[in-house]
Amino acid sequence: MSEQFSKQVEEIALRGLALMRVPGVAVAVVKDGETILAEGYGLANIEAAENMTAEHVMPIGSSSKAFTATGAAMLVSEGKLALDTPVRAYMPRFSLSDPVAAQSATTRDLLCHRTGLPRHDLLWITWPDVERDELMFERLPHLGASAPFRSIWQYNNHMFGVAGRLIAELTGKSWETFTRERLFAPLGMRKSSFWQDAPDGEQKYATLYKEKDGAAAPCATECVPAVGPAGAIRSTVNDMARWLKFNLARGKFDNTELLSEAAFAELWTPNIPYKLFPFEVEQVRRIGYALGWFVDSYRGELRVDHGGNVSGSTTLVSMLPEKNIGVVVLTNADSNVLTYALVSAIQDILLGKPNETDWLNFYQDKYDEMKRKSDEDIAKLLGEKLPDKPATHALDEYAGIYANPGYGKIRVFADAGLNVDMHGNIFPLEHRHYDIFSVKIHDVPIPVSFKTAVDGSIEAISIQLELSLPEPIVYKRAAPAASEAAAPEKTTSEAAASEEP
Amino acid sequence: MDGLHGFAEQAERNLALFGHAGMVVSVVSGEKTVLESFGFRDAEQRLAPDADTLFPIGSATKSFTAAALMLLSRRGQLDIDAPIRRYLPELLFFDPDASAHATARDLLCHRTGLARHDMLWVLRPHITRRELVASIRALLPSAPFRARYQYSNLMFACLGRLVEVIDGRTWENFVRDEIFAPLNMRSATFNVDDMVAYGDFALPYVRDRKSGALNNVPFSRLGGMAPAGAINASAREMAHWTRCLLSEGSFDGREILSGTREMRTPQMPAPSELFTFPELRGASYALGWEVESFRGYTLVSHGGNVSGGSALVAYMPELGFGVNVMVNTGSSLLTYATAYDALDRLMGFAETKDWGAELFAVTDRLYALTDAAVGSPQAARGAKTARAAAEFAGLYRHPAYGAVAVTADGGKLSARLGQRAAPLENVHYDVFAAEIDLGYLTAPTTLSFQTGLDGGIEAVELPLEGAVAPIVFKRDKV
Repeated sequence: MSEQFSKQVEEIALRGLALMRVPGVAVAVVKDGETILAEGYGLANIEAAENMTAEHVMPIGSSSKAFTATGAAMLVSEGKLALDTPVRAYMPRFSLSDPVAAQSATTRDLLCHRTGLPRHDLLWITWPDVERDELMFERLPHLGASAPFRSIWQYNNHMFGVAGRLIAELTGKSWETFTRERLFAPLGMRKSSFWQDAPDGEQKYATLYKEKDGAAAPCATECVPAVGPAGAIRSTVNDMARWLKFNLARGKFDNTELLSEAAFAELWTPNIPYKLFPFEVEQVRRIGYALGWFVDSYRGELRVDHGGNVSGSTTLVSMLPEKNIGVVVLTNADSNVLTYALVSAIQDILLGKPNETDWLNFYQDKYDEMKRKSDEDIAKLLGEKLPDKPATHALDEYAGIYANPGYGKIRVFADAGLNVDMHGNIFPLEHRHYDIFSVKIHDVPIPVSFKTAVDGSIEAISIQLELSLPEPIVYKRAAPAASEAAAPEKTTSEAAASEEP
Repeated sequence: MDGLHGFAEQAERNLALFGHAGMVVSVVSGEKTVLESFGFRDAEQRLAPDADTLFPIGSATKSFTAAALMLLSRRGQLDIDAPIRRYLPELLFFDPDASAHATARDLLCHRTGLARHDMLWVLRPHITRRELVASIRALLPSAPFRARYQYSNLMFACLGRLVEVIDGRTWENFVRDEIFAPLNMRSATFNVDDMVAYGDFALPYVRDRKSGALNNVPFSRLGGMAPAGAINASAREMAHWTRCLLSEGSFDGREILSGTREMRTPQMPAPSELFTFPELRGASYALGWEVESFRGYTLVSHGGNVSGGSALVAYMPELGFGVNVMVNTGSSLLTYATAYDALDRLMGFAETKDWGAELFAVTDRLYALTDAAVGSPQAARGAKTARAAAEFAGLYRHPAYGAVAVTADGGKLSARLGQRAAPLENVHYDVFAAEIDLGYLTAPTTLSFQTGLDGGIEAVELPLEGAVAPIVFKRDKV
């Protein structure tokens, strides 16, 4: 079967790379405890014509969440942590703006996205050097909730940061050190590391790409150590095959039990219904988000998976536990659905239903539709620009330092128009009408509004950084316009997360 | 319906295998309905049921209560995501988070933090809906608010009350006028008396575990608890309900229900305690409905179980199939066997699985679960009580579970537990054993009397809800 299987996978992978304009993809497949395929297809570096291999390192993004959840489950197994005890009992500094959530949120709530907090992703994306403790303990308590505690599933990266910080609180080791010692080392994941680690000369790193003007352009991925437990791991499919074997053996590797069966079982027990994509897949019935894993029924088979998506890399780790099948797909392209298409196609081959569905075209069509809808929504964000309605104040009157207790300090300054400096990221502000501007962050134009005080001065800037909240994020002016030149923020050269807490 | 070929024969064999009294079935596929009936509605007189015979649908009633709330929501009279105290301020919980934030949705999907506490309404058979609502605040939670699925009949009684305070009509009249009438469900009833008056109904039976004999048992009379499980209906009229659900709320071209999709959107994972089959995945509770995947397609269903009656109401929205099974024997898994067999045939999987044999094999597990739920007798380990019987006599009260009157008659102690007075047998010390009469079976319990500082008996504890500490009834001062 092996050679025929390899050919089938190769054929689909190559077709997928072309259709979805992805430079390269690496795949590993584990069945009944054996790696039956570990291959790269396409290019790891377009400019150098370097072939993708099973040894190329790529960020796995949010597929890291299962490592964080597994780390927590290991502490459950050791009796150091109970999933249903409030986080505050272990880490009294933990807080959230909703007092009910603050006192009651448990590790289970953090790991299944039901605290009521929406993403607030632009906070960490625009603040790469925020220290983990500052983000977790000083900023998170000020972020607005968009749903009652435990009422719905809302994907949230920050809460995995909290879970990682909790692991540090209980073990005295940073999440990174804990993960390295307790998972990477025993599983022999020697090529796995974290986004802030310096490149290792021994390893091959795939170049990451993002589409720019219709062509693939090299890009850097995020590196925000503060939220590392939500997505910091980079790895190879060979290493990830070991992770699959460990999971398919329900927490054992090389016959060594790394955590108890009961603690492991929690990782795959659904906690809350979820909806990840705006479309439905006929062969899939969603079951629930467990802990760092999605659980669904695929063609009637139990499936456990989690994808990852960071700048320049899209990944998927997927298992059919009752068939003892695991698949990992890592790509070096920003935002694509080759991962889902390829994983489904490979699972179909192993379920004896090859070519039953054209997954490549199915997912690409859905993706195109999703992208079109999202572009439409983005276009609607700003609304109509009124003609001939200039700004009410001179540009330098808007300049100054503004602060929000959750999102931190930003600096507005005039230099060929207005600009905003968010933690070292400079974004131009485009004027719309009166005191309304817009700022483009990650290609999304976001409305910005300045507020005039009774005395006529500008007293606040509001930016719609979290669209699921009814109100924008309001930054109040922290210093008069004269201090425009002041430094925006202390910058931390060393990220806190790379040190022991 | 060609796909159903062989279904009636298989159902007849399964009925014989389970040894239950009678069964009626309606199977809906698109515009077509097939009605079948088997066995006896009255085993003594050997009277056969037919498609018009009334059977209890038990907890499948919950989907009607959910539908009533969706109607109020469509009319703008209820926001199911607003705190329920806006409409029903007298509903309070022990947990202040739940009091402040619980919504109709939370009650509809069993996530308020309360366990069953079913003995409350067993001990207070005449409790009104209004009294039920007022009693909730004295029940201790067994999970944090919204953290876990814990099936609760009491919450559905409270939801019935919510219909009443919003609409003004009783829950029964609302469901009759707004759902039964437009669905042409003319014979369906909300209580035993109306069913008996109708005349064509199934007698309730329980099958003796050891001898296999069918024993006639009393009807469940739910009274205040009706919105959780009191509807009786025929197979023919239940098919009207199914057709309406399959057409997303319309019946004979008229829009009757709204929110059918919302009602089947999963809210809480709710794995079956009873069985796991690879054909069934991902059981969740939605709003008055259970939702799972059956052979890869969505199955929406609700089971029902009352004294001497079992039911399963199920439909598959993507495929346009529905099936209703009612059996006049309690604790029956024949309902599942029959429904899954019918769906298999409709889906083209005829004869691939012997659901009868598979589910019959699970019956022992059902018994074990039932036993665990009712508790087991306490083994004697110590000395008998040092007190005279009269010292225990008195009236003991709990703010939710009501009063337990303990009487000493000629040295013989007995306690009023629900419908009847149960004799108390001293196990050891001040611990007594008694049987609570549930109508179709008795549940062993213990009464553990507590001594006050003054040396007198001040309270009695009964383990009436396994998920929380024993319920403490305090003695009235004499």
